[in-house]
Amino acid sequence: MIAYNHKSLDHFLMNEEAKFALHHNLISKEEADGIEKKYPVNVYSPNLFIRIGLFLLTAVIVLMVFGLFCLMTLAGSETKFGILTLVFSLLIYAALEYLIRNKNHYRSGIDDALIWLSMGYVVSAVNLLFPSISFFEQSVLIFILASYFVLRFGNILMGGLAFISFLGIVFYGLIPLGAMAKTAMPFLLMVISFFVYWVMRKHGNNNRLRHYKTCCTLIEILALIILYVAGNYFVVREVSNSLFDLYLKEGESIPGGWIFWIPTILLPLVYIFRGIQKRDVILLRTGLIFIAAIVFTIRYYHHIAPLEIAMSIGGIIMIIISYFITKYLTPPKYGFTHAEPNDPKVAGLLQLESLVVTQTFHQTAPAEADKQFDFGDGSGGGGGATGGY
Amino acid sequence: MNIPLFEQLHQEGLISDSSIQKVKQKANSSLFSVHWELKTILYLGILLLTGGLGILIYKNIDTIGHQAILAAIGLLCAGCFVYCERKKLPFATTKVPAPNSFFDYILLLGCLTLITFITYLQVQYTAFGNAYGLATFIPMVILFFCTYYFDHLGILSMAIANLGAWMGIAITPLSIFKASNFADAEIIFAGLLLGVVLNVIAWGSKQRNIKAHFGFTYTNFGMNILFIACLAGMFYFDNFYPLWLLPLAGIVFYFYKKSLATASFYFMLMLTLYGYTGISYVMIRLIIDGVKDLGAVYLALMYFISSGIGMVVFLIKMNKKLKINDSI
Repeated sequence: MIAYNHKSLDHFLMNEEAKFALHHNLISKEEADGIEKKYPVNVYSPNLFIRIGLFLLTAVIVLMVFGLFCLMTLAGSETKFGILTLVFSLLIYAALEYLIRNKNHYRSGIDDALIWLSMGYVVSAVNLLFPSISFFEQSVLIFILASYFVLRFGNILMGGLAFISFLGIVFYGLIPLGAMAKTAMPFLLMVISFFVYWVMRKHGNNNRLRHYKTCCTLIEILALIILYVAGNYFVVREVSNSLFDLYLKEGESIPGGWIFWIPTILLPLVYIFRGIQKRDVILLRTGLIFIAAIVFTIRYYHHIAPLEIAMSIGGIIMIIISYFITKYLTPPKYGFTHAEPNDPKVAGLLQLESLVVTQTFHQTAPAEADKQFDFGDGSGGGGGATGGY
Repeated sequence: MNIPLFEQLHQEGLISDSSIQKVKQKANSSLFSVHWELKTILYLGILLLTGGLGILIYKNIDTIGHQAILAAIGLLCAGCFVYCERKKLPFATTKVPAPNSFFDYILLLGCLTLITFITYLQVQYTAFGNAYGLATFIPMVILFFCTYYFDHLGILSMAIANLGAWMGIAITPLSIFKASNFADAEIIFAGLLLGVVLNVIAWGSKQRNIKAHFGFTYTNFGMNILFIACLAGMFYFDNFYPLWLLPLAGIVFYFYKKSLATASFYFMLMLTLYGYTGISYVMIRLIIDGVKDLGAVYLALMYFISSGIGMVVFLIKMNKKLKINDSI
C-alpha cells in the first residue's frame, strides 16, 4: 500500500542500522561499505536541515502558484473557488506521486510539503463547497484523509492526526446523544486510548509494519497522553462545565467529580512504575511529565501554600531527588545508569541545552534584580537591551 | 537495533563473526540511561528554587534587610565556586569534561549568584557610581573567565549574551526574533561589529586550538547577529536599501565557504534562508515601486515561483556536495 518502493526503503533502513553499528564500533568500515554496496541506497533523502529548507521553499512555491491560479481565473463564487482548490489539490497529489515514483524522494522535505499541502487544500475545498459542515463531519473527513495518507506515505504526523481525528469522531458523534453520553465520555475516551495503546505496543514491532514503526511510536505516545488527559480532574471539570452549561463556581464540583481524582494522581505513578519495570522510556517520560500535571491540578483547586514557598520547596525536592538517584545509580544497578547514552543523535542536544540555559537564566538575573530593588528607571529585563542600564 | 537483520547480514557473509558477537553483546547489555531525565529534573529544580527564592526575597525585603541577603548570596556564590574549584579537572586548552553532572549546574548557580551579587551592590550601594557600562562589563569579564577556566558551554552562551548586552544589543534566542530593538542605526552597526568580533574569535579559537569546541557557539551567535543586523539595515535605511545587498552577499559567501569547509548543513540552510529573505525583499520592493497595478502582484508571484524553484535546485545541489563528509 505504501507509495515508496519497498526494496528501496528496506535498503535505506539497513544502511541506517549499519551506520549506527559503525558509530558504536560494532562493525568495521569495510563491512559497512560492503553492506552499502550490496544494498545500495537509491532513495533521495537529504539531511534534516536541507529537508527543512526544501519543505519551506516548496510550501512557498506551491502557495505562490495557487495565488497565480486564483488571480488568473478570478473565481467569484465560493463554489467555483472550492472547485479550483479541489483541482489544485489533485494536481499537487499527482506531482507528489510522480516525484516518489520517478525521482525516489523519501522524507525529502518536498514530499512532506506536498503531502500536507494537498491534504490542506482538499480540506479547504470541502469547507468551501459545503460551508455549513459540522465538527463531526470535519472529523470524519480529516480521519479518512489522514488515514489514507498515513497508510500510503507513512508520514508520522499524519498518523497522529488520524488518531486525534478518530477521537474527534467519537466525541462529536456521541455528544449530541444526550446527558448519558456526556457523562460517559471521559471513560469512553480512556478505554479507547488504552485499547489503541495496547494494539500499538503489541504490533508496533511487527516486521510487516516496519515502515510504519515511527508512526506507531507517535500514536503510542499520543494514546498515553490522551488516556491521562481524559481522566484528569481539571480537564473533566472544565470541559463538563462548558458542555453542560453548568456555570460552576469556585469550590463546586461536578456530580461524582471526586472519582476523577483517582486517575489524576494514580496514572502518572503507574506510568513511571511500569516504565521502570518494563524499561520503557516512553512510559517513564510521559509519567514524569504528568507529575507536573498532578501538581498543577491540585494547586488549581486547593491552595496549599503561597507560590514562592511551593516553588522553593518543590525546587529543593527535585534537586535532592536528582542527587540521590544519581548517587544510587553510580555503579549501574538493575540495568539502570545515570551516565550519558552514547547516541549520535543526542550530540546536538548539548548545544541546545546551553541555548535553553541562556534563554531562561539570562533573563532571570537582571529581571530578578528588577523585581528586587524596585528599579525606577532603566529596564533590565530582556537582557539589558536598551543602552541605558 | 534489529538483531534478525544483523544475523541475516552475517549469514550472507557481509559481517564477520566477531562483529555479530559485538552486536549481540551490545543489544543484551544495553543499559537504560536516565541521564537526560535526571538532568531535566535537576534543571527544573534549580529553576523553581531560584524563582521561588527570588520572589520570597522580593516580598520580604523589608524584614530581612539588605546586608543579610547580600551575605547569604555571597556565601552561596563562594560555596559554589569552592566546590567547582575542588572538583574540576586540570585546565587544558582542549576540551575538559565535567567530573559529574552536578558540576555543570553548581557552576551555573555560582555564576548566577555572582552576577546577582554584583548587580545588588551596584543598585543598593551604587558601588560603581555612574559608570553603568562598567557594571555590565565586569560581570561579562567574569563570565568569560569562568567559561574558559571551567570549560562550560552554557556559561559561554551567557557570557556572549552579556557581551551583547554591554554593547546595547539583546541576543538571547527569543529576543532576536522580536528584533524590535533593531530599529536604531547605532544598534545595527553595533550588531554588525559584534557579529564580526564573534566570528573572529571563533576563527581564532580554531587556529590557536584554544578551546576549539567553543567555535560552534561563537559562530552560531555571530552568524545570526551578523545576518539579522544586515537585514535590519536593509529594512531600516529606506533610501539605500539595495546597497545592503553588498555586505549581505559578502556574509553569505563567507558562510558558504565555511559551510563547505566544515560540512555543515545547518550553516548552509541558514545562509540560504537569510540570503533569500534579503534578495526577495529587494526584488519585491523594486517591483512594487516600479510597477503600479495588478501587474505588480503577477510579477511578484512569478518571482517567488521561479526563485523558489531556483533555491530548491540550489539546496539539492548543496546537499549532494556536503554529503561527502557529514556533520551538523
